[in-house]
Amino acid sequence: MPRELTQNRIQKIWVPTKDDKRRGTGAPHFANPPTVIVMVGLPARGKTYISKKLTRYLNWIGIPTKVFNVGEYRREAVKNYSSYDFFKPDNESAVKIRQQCALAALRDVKSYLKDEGGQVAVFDATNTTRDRRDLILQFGTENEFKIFFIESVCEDPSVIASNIMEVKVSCPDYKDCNKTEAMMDFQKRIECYRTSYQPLDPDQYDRDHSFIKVIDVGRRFLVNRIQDHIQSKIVYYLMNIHVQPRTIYLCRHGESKDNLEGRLGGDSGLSQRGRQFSAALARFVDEQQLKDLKVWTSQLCRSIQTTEHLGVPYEQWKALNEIDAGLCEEMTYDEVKEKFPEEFALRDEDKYYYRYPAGESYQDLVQRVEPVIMELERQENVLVVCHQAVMRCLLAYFLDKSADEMPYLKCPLHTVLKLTPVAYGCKVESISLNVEAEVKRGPGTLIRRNSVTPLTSPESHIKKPRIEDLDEAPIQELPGSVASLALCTSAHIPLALAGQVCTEKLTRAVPASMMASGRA
Amino acid sequence: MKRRSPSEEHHGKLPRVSVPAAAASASPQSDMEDKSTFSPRELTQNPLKKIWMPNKNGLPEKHISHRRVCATNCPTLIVTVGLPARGKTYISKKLTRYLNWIGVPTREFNVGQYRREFLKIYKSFEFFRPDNEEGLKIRRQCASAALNDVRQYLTEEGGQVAVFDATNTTRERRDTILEFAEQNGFKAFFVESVCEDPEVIQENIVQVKLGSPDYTNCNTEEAVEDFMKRIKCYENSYETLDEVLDRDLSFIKIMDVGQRYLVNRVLDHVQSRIVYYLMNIHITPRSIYLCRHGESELNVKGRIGGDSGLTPRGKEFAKKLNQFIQTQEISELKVWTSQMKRTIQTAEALNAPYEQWKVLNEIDAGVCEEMRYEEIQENYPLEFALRDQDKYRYRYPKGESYEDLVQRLEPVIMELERQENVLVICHQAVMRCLLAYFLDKTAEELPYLKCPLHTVLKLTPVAYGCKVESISLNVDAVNTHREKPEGANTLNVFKAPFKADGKHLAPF
Repeated sequence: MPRELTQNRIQKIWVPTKDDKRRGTGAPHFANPPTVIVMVGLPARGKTYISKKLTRYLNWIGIPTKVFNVGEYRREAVKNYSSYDFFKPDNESAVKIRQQCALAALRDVKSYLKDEGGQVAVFDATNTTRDRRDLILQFGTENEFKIFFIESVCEDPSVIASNIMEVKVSCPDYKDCNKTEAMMDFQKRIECYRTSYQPLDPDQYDRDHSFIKVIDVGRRFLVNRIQDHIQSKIVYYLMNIHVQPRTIYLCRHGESKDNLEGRLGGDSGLSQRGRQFSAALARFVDEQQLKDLKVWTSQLCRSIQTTEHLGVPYEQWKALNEIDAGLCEEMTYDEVKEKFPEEFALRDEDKYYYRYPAGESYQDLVQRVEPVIMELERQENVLVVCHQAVMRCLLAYFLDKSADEMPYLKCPLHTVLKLTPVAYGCKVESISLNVEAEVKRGPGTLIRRNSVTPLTSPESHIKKPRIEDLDEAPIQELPGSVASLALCTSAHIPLALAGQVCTEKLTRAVPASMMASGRA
Repeated sequence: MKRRSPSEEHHGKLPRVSVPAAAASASPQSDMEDKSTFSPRELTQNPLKKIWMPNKNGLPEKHISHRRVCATNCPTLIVTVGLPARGKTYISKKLTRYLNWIGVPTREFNVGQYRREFLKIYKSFEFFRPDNEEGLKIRRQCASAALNDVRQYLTEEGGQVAVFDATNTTRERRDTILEFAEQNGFKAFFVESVCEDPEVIQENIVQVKLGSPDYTNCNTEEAVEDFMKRIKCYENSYETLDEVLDRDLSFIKIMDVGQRYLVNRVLDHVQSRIVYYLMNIHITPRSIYLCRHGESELNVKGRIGGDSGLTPRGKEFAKKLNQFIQTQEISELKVWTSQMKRTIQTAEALNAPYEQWKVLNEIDAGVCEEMRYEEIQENYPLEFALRDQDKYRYRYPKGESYEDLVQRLEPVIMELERQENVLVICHQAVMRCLLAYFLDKTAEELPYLKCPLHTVLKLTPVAYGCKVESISLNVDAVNTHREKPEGANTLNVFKAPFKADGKHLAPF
């Protein structure tokens, strides 16, 4: 006997029985066992860059993901880094510390994936030896996690040097050094790993493992045994990102006639002030002196009219159209309140998941604009002329904002946001073009609650007491295999700890990201 | 404006002539030197596609860049590489079908067919021996005839991607092709298939080579033996794509039927999509089942769209569908539905887990949702006529077109390619789009494919195509198919993005 269906009121999803829990996501997640992504590579190969960027992407598309950076665990355990001596394979006490840090990180991976609702954990360390990777594979088998390796291989000295300059010398390990000293020390640190480095071997040893090797900053890729949907998406993403310096400009269309009247959605043209903004935008773009600027708009009249003022070629994307407000299209908030009082309240309750009747939610919008993000990653300088909700979704991706924050991000009319990738994050400049515009009377901003999906990449929480007291390391709590490794001699286990930090996301004034050369 | 191309700069001074290239599509009007007098073009909405277009001399601009797969006007030449029986033709045909479906005009050029055309009668592997001067000469002529056709297709016939399907096993041959591409302004992308598993090769020969016209008068054993010798003819001179020697080329090397891939220098969007597609397809035998939801309340009332529940007959179908699925004894069947009540109700009768996809929702009929065709004709007579004129590209006011639907469904196709046995419970327009992909149907045919209620289509990949079985579950339902009206003009409105001669094994 088939079950009765009722419609979830927030997401407008049909669910069997009266279960009002949210359930669907629009795009299925292909219920899979959780995945551990394991980074592999010498220090300064961009492992942390890839980890953070991938984590941000996966969270944004709705897959809860978290980075576990073993270097951060080490810095917690050993407050004062003195020199590369710490990473020498024959430094026994240090090897022990590094080992325990890795084990502590794995333990946290386990609880994240088993108890905290995580679906993907990114284990960010050098993992340059087979011993270490075998241990992780065993950890995966024991816990029924799928293991996917991402190895970054790069031998271009200039790329490595620029990576060290950008993210390593400013790292806490070197806060008391000058740049040259730091550079020297870090180079020696790399050498500590080099002798024992065993790259992934697609022909023999690693032929049955799932992995991608990223060679020379994305010039070449070797992909082995993709197992599932998530791995396939990860590979596609990694093949599309690049590290060329560039700038992305986001703005909304100029003020529209519907904006003036405070109406949602619709397809009206620009107001007088909207046209003034468009002319100001043309001047602004001109002043920026951009090389090969691509301009993208939606297929709605107001964004196309805005773009027409620029006098340059542009492309229309239907995927950039404003959120579909369904039955509420072209209504004012007051009218919505009057005609659909319940809907109005529901939207306030959970704005990210709320779907307009016969329309869309922010969550739907993220799925819709995902191809735009993928193409933005591929491109260099781009100006996107779009709409409020769409701009919030795009911005949330670049700034790693959560589902709670996304629908409340400030994207005023007549203001351009200039996004420049720096180090591990993205610098934002907000440029008002000084043309007045109607301020939409929204339903009032509330503090978010309820949202379950943590769309932002979680900050790493290192539980200090556990590894601070090394004499009482809680080895007994570890899974068998892990514990046995922890107890065995250190001579042949040069543990893998990339010293990589820098958690400041937005404003570090370091030019560009890790590497300067790469794809043509 | 500083960065305008030279050709655009003329436009301020010369009389406006039609601007051919997409790059110039949004070229500005005159007097650009002085910002203050610059006035942007007026927009009008194309009534059929509902797309805003700038006016030029009072007429709507023809070429507006819409986000498509090929954003540039630089065509792509895909070149297969590999020994015989490595699946090159399989990949070529499949990729061509996919690209056409997503709206990139693509055609394959199989050099073997040119050879058969030229030679009519194939005798034996001797023809392919490297020391057969006559054979070499003929093969070279065939390759260059094919390349000529490639050029014609990409420069004059509106093609955006050509797939040059031949062995291309020597660096010399590939250099010739690269030179050809460079001369014509095409981007070359190589797809190499490497496989040393004798079983896979044997299977491939039996599957597709024995049916080839070359072997119509042979028995299986003779044919296999001859073909193995043919492979030998290429082995000595085979130079695989090399990480170092070919480091500047763009290519994907597919190893052991998709176990491993080497991807080098992906240059643009279309190459990136091709790589993603090739990494998702597989050749494990499986079946895909497509059907619509059971008959709905609105179906009975003759109303389109909406989100109504099933009628008693619809529920009866859902039960029969369950029985049918049981009898099929499918291992690990995945069930997908849309997020509409009628497909979920249908899936609920299956007693199996299922996943809901919003992208599988029925075409959005916009302001026409829940109307009857007669009402549309009455209320929006122009809309009604426009839809008949070009049903594939027609977009409902505030709704979608079939063309939009195909874009929306692309992730479903990609995931279907990844999966094995899947039952998709969807909707009429959605099912037509999915079916058109599997059966390689044109944009003209797509909106008229017959997908009746209460009927399951079972698709099984065979050789280069797809076998279709249509299974009616014998539950009565209303007919929701609307035939293409007589005299409806479709030919000269827009050029179809699909190739006109789409061949498939199982005519629908």
